[in-house]
Amino acid sequence: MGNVAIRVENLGKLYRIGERRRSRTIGEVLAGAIYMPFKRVRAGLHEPHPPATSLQFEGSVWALKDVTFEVPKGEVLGVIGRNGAGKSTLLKILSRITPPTTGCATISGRVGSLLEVGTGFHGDLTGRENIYLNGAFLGMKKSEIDRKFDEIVAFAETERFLDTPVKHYSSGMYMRLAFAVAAHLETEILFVDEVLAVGDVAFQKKCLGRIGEVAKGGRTVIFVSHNMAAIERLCTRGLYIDKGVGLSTSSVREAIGLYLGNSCNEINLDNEIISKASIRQNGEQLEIEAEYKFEHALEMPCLGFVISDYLGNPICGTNPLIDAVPFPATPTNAGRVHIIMESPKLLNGTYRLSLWFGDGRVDYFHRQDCITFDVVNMAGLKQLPASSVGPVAPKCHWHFS
Amino acid sequence: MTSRVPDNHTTRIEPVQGWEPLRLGAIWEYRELLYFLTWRDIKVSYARTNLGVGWAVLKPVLTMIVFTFIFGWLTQLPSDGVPYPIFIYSALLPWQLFARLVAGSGSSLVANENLVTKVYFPRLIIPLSTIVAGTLDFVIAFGVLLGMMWYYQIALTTAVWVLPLLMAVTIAAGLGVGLWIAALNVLCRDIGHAQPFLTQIWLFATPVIYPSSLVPEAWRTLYALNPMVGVVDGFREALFATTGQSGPIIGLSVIVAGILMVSGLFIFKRTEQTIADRV
Repeated sequence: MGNVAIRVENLGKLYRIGERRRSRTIGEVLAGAIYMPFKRVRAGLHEPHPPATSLQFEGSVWALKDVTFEVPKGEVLGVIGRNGAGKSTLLKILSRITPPTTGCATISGRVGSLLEVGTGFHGDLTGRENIYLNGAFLGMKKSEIDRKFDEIVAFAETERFLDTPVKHYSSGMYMRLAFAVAAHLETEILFVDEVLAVGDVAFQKKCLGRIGEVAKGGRTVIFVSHNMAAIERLCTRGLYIDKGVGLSTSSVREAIGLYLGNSCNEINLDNEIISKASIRQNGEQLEIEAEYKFEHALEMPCLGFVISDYLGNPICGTNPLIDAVPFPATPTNAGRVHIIMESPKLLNGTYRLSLWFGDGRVDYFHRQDCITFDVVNMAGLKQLPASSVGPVAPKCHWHFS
Repeated sequence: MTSRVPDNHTTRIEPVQGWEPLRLGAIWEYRELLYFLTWRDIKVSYARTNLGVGWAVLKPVLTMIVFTFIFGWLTQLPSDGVPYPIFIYSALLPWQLFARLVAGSGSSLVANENLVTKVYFPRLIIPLSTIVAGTLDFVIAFGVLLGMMWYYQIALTTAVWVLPLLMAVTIAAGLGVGLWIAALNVLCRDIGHAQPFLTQIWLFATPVIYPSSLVPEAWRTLYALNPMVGVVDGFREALFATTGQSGPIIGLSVIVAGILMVSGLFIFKRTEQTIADRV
C-alpha cells in the first residue's frame, strides 16, 4: 500500500426501503418453520442485490454508490454533503459496522472509530468503570487505558465523581467524560462522525481543539461534519458526497465550494403560500429568494426573515415594512421576492433561516428554522472564531490619536 | 505484545455473501472486550439490588420450594427414591444455567442494539459474555446443593467427575439454542416473544420435575434427542446413583449439543454482518 492509508474502490451500499419487511405473526413463523424451514431462513438471510443500474431501484436505494478515493498516510480527509448524502454510511462501512454491497476498501493501520461518544456507557457503573468499558469498546487495551487514565480524568474534569455511578452525573459531565475517553484513543487511523455537535460551545471548542491536535499528530483521519468552518480548519483534503456519489477528493476549499454550490439550501412547499424558498451565499452576500401565491392581490408582499445560529438563537432579521421599502407599483397575488443581504457579515458556521409571510398586518405563513445553511468566508479570510466573538463581524472605523 | 508491529495491521472490507468461515481467532483478539462485557454483565445484573449475589441462591431455592410443594407434595410425582427437594434442585441447577444462556444470548443482539450499530467487534462476544455470569451463578447455587446433600446424608461418589462435562454440554446446548434465537430474532422479532414459551415447553420436555423413568420406553430415543435429558439424568446419576444407565443418553446429548452449537455459530455468523442494518 506504500503511502496510502485508506483505499476505497467503487464502494456501494444498497438499502432496502419501500417494501418493508412485513411483520409476521407467530403463526406464520411456525408454519413457515414447519413447512419450509430452509427456504424461509434462506430468503431472510440472503437477499439478492438488484443490478446497480440506477440510484433508486424498486424498494431499495443506493445510499452510497461507486465511491472511490484514497487517503495518504497522515492526511485529514473531511467528508461533507447534505443530510442523507451517505456520509455516515461511508463511515459505517469503513468501521466494519455494516458490509458494503459492492466494491472494497483496504485500510492499513489500527482503526479507531468515533461514531458517537459514550458508546456502551452504563448508568449503574461508576465513572471509573465506564472509562474502562468504553475504552474497551473503542478498541483500547486495558494497559493502554491504565496508562492514560489520569489524563482522561483530568481532561473530563470529573475527578471528584470518579466513583459515582454516571446516572447521577449532569449531562454536561457525562458528555465530558465520554468525550475524554474518545479523545485519548490513539490509533493510526481515526474515523470521526460529528460527535462534536453536542455539548455547549466551550466544550465543542475544546473537542475541536483536541481533534486538531490529533490531526497534526501525523495520524490519518476521516472527519464527517456539517461544520464547514471546522472542516476547513482541520482537514487537508475534502470529499464531497452528493446523493451517495462521491464527487471528488480535492482540496478542502474545492469540496466546500462544491457543497455550497450544489447544496441549494432550498425548500419546496407545494400548496403553501410560500411554495419555494432558498438561501445561498454569493461571495460576501447572502441571497434569499421566495415564491409566493396568495388568494387575493397584496399591496405589499411582506416577506420577513430571521437568521439564527445553529442552536436557534436569533442573530438578525427584518421585513420590508421595517426596512421602509417602497410598495410595488401594482398589487399582485403571486410573484417572487429576492433579498440581497450585505450586512451583517456572518462568520463561518452553520445558521438557520426562519420565514414569515403576510400583508403587513397579519401573518399567513410562518416556518421556523426551515432552512439550515452554511456560511464560509462571508466576512473574508481573516476572521475570529464565531465561538468566541459571536456570529457577526463588526464593521468599524478605527481612529488612533 | 511489544514485538507486534501494528503497522502491518491491514483490514480489507468487502461485500459478504453466503456462509462465512467462523474466524474464531478474532474472538481471541478481542478477549479484553469479552472480559469487560462479562464483568459488566455480572456487575450490572446485581446492581441496585439489596440481596445482590444472594439472588443466585434464592432463584433456584425458591423454585425448588414451589415445585416441591406442587409436584412433590400435592401431585406426589415419583422421584426415584430420592427426597423430592434435592431431586428437583439437582435438576434445576443445570436447567437454570441452560435457560439463562438461552434467554441471555437469545436477546443479546437486540438488547445491545446501541453497541452493534456504533462500534465494531466480533458480535459473537455479546452472547459469549453471558456464559461466565451464568456459570458463576451455577457454582454459587451448587454450594447449596452440597449443603442439602449433607443434610439428607447423601455421600458424594467418584462419579462427580462427569459434572464438569455435563456443565460443558449444558453450556454448548444453551449457547447453541441462544445463538439460533439471537440470529432469528434479528430477522423477525416474533422469535424474541416466542422464546419464553419455548423455554417453558422445553422445561416440561426435560426430566426436571419428574424422573425420566416415567417416559414410556418407546419414546425414550426421541426424548433423548433433547440434550438436557442426558444432562439432568447424568446429574442425578452422578449424585445419587439412581438409574445407572444414562451413559448412551449422555453420549447422544454431547452430539446433539455439539450440533446445536456449531450450527448456531454458523447461522449467527451469517446474520452477524447484516445485524447493524436490521436491528
